[in-house]
Amino acid sequence: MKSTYSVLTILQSISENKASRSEVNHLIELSQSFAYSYLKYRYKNLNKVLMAEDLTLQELAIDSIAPLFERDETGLFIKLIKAFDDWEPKIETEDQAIFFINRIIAKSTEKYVSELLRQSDPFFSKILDSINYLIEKHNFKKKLIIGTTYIVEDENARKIGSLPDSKFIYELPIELFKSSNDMLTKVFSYIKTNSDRTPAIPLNSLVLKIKHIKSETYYLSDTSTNGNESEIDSIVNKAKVLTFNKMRESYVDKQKIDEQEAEKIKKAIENIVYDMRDGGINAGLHKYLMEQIPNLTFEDYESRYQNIFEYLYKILKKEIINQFQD
Amino acid sequence: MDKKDKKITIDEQDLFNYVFFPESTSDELRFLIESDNTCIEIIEFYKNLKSNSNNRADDTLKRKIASKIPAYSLSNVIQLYALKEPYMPKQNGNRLAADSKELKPKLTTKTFVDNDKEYLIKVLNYGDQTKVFVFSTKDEVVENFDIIIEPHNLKFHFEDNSEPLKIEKSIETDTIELRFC
Repeated sequence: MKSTYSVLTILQSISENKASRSEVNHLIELSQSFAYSYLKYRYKNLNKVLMAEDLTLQELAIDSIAPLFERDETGLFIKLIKAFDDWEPKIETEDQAIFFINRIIAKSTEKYVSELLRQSDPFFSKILDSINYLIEKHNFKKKLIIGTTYIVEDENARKIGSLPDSKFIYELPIELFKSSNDMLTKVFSYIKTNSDRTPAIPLNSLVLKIKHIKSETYYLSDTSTNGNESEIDSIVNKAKVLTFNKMRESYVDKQKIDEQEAEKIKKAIENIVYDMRDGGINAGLHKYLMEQIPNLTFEDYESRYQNIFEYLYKILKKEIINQFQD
Repeated sequence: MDKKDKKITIDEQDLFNYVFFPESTSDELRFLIESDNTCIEIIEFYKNLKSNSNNRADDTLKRKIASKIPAYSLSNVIQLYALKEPYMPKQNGNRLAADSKELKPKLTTKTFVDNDKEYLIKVLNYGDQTKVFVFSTKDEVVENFDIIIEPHNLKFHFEDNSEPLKIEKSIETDTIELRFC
């Protein structure tokens, strides 16, 4: 590190509430650059939400570290101080201090990405919940390795080795997922017998793999399959119909919006649904409607459509979650 | 970490240190890491992490950070306020005759600090001359800045704080502003 600052000294100063403005700034800049690298190199293929055009990776990196630098009413960086004080073994050297920052930023970034995926994609959220249930049920563990949460059999194993990445998970045979109850056991067994990778399953990649299977195949859930539709198609189509009905009842029939406006909103919701199936929606919800009404300014969107559009989006998400079968 | 076990296991911190602090990696561990193909991807990632961390944040990024993280202070202007001087009672109320003969101007000092107590400025007023000393409380060299002395808005430039500012008159000081160029 070329910097003249000592991260260890800064952490100690923060712990004693004596850190100077320039020290705090330096630590925040270092943390932001770490978070940026995690987002850029560890999550680049994960989801297009991370590439949303109105939020750059640099900004997402700032958002992901912001909670760590919250202060209490006395000015103490409570989260950072707690993490520093609780860290084992105690941080006594510069090497340890920078590794510590690297680890807590990795954790914070992973948490942020998971939240982002959950918010932008109700399918992701629901599948993640069911995987978490399976992890607990079968006594597997979750472990953060190089900024990614993996499902592991033994959380105390220290060796890293070659970790399965999202491409590896994406290419796993579909047969492993036929039965949701033992899919994790089957994936572990497949990794051990068919590859030289470390037996660890990247959690978010697994969720996206399952979502992909559910959108491409018909056999995972007998209950919600309808004709030639995949499970996800069936769910989103029902949710769309319910959302459009709600729009008619609450806004068109009450003459709060006209037929033309309703049509534009409908198209915007169609595009949202398309993106949801395709990986997740853009962080700027307003853009979907502004695309349909080219002359609409953001101010007009806020005053005339924002409440309606966000409400209908909530209805859509709620209906999807309600119908989604594990 | 004890690496004396018969079988050394390469863990996350070993790979991190191998990239960030190569001098702290033992020869044995280095050999092991370099001969293990499974480490290549992670080493590559840490190299990117290190390389990005050496890039300085530009002004646009700094502004974005400041807008999202209140603890990040963008300001290059630091306001310093006078510390209350401790009250020094006179030893007694009597004045000696010799006192009145003293011709040497009386020295007064005033100390200024910023809210973060990052900088300290001492103003020594000798009556016919004023000296202004700028200190960093972290013992850092303070470089390329202006100081603005209020209430008369007197502005002076410093290349660094190695020497005090000397003004050949007595000046009044209420507050001082540091402006980094």
